[in-house]
Amino acid sequence: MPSSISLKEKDKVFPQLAANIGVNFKFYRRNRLLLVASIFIIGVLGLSTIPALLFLSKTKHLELINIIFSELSSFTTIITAALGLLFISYHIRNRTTKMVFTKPCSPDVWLLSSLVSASIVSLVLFAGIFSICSILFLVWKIPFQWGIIYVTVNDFLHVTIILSYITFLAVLFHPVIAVLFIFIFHDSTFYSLKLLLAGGIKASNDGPLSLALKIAKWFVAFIYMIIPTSKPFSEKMSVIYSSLRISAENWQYLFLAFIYTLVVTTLFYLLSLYFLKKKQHI
Amino acid sequence: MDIIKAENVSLSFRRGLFKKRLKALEDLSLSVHEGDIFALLGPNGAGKSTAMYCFLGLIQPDSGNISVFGRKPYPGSDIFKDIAYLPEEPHYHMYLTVREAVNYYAALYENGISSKKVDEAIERVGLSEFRDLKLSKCSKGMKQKAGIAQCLVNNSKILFLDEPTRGLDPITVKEFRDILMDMNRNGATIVLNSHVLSEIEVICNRVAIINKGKVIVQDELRHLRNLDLETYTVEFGITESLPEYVAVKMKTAETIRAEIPISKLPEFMRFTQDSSLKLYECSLKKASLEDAFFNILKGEG
Repeated sequence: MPSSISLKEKDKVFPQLAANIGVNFKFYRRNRLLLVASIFIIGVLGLSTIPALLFLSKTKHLELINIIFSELSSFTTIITAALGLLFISYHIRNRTTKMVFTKPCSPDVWLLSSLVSASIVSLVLFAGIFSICSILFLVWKIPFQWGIIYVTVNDFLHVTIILSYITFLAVLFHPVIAVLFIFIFHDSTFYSLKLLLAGGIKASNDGPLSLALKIAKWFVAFIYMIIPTSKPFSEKMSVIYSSLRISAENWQYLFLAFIYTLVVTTLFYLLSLYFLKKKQHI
Repeated sequence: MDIIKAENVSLSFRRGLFKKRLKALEDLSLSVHEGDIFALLGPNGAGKSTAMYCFLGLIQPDSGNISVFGRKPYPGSDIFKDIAYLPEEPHYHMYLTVREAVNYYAALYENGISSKKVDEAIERVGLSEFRDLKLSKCSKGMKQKAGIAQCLVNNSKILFLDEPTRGLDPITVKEFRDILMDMNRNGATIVLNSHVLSEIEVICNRVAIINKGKVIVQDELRHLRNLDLETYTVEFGITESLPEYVAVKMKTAETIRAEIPISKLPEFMRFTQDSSLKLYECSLKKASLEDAFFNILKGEG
């Protein structure tokens, strides 16, 4: 009976998922590279935030909260991406997957545990960021802006997309190549390139170079269209990010961003799984 | 009943800048019966570990069929609930302690292995006092013991052991051998790769000799040892001319030590009588697995 099979599968998957997540957290906790990277990033972000905190007028408290949120959110993005990258790279390169896949634990569960563990860390960090910002609203006695919930949730979705993308890259490439890839191969690079080529076409005045530039622009536009963005509806949401104020119609974009994140994360998960299964774990 | 079966398995790897094809397995066929202690023997690079990876589904062959418990193995498959695997290299989760690692591997089995059983396994391999030591800090032998412990937590029906005694001290080797025999008595089938022929001779009942990715011989160990390899060791007085079947092993000022085939013993006796040679020793030298192994490989060229 299909229902009993799925029940049996669930009975098996959840304890395995829990066991993997537990071990993943130990990996995060004991990884010195992650610790050093976290301290470094906190240091850099702190140094860039402190001047604003010291010199910004007290009348601009909302702006301060915005800066703090933005800096801490960047930190969470980098750390979560690092968790995904280091975890996958470490286990594939050290061939520990061999020990997992020779147990009745499928690559599906193992990969899912990696995404879930890093997402839990990201969720906890965003909950912390939200708490800090909420406390600052109280301390500075300024009206609470619901936009802070909005941007927190949206940034969490953004981090989830980045995490699934870097997981996919880490399955395929050496971590250094994966990092280079993520810096180069994203939607804004191709958007800028598209604008640059459009400018070039205009300047060439239908000269001999024009056709080549047009072909290049089509190609770049095609990649721009197919490559998933990590910040869907960013233009629609930019006002919320600057003012932390929202209106009722803004919530629909968050809902759509959630659906988009779900689709893109599933896509990258399935792609990662495909290549993970193709790998020789020896 | 064949619990593991490989039929005409071929596999090649692509290596180097120009992706040169290297044949790892060529038309490999073998079968392991239920209850066997089966050894894969062969020189380095013969394809023993590759064959084991194929049995474990970690590599998919280019052609041919592999079945374990009658099913095709693939990573994380359900068949692994009855399988334990000890890798050649310690590819363990080095950031975990011995206990955490064994506990983790045990947790991946479906049947929820208790922490008591994990502790028992650790104790059985003599790692109790190091249970809280990180694997990265463990010696090679300790890592190997931790690997053995994770094989013991589940009552597996098949054990795949890749160079199981590597890095172990003689006492642990003996204990490990006892554990294996015990598990086999309780119905486990054991497949192992090893270079230690004397070790295999003690525990295995069936052997496959692999060379250049092919199975050269696959038989019961007792049959392999009887491949016309038994000889007589003889020691006799010095003489100038010797029959060609006498293989001289050592020559001193007074005696010659040599080996002669069993069938030539009467002829050799006549030779010593005719030549008035003093015969100091004549004893049957039983063929060892080592002899069989070298003779078979030599025959393969």
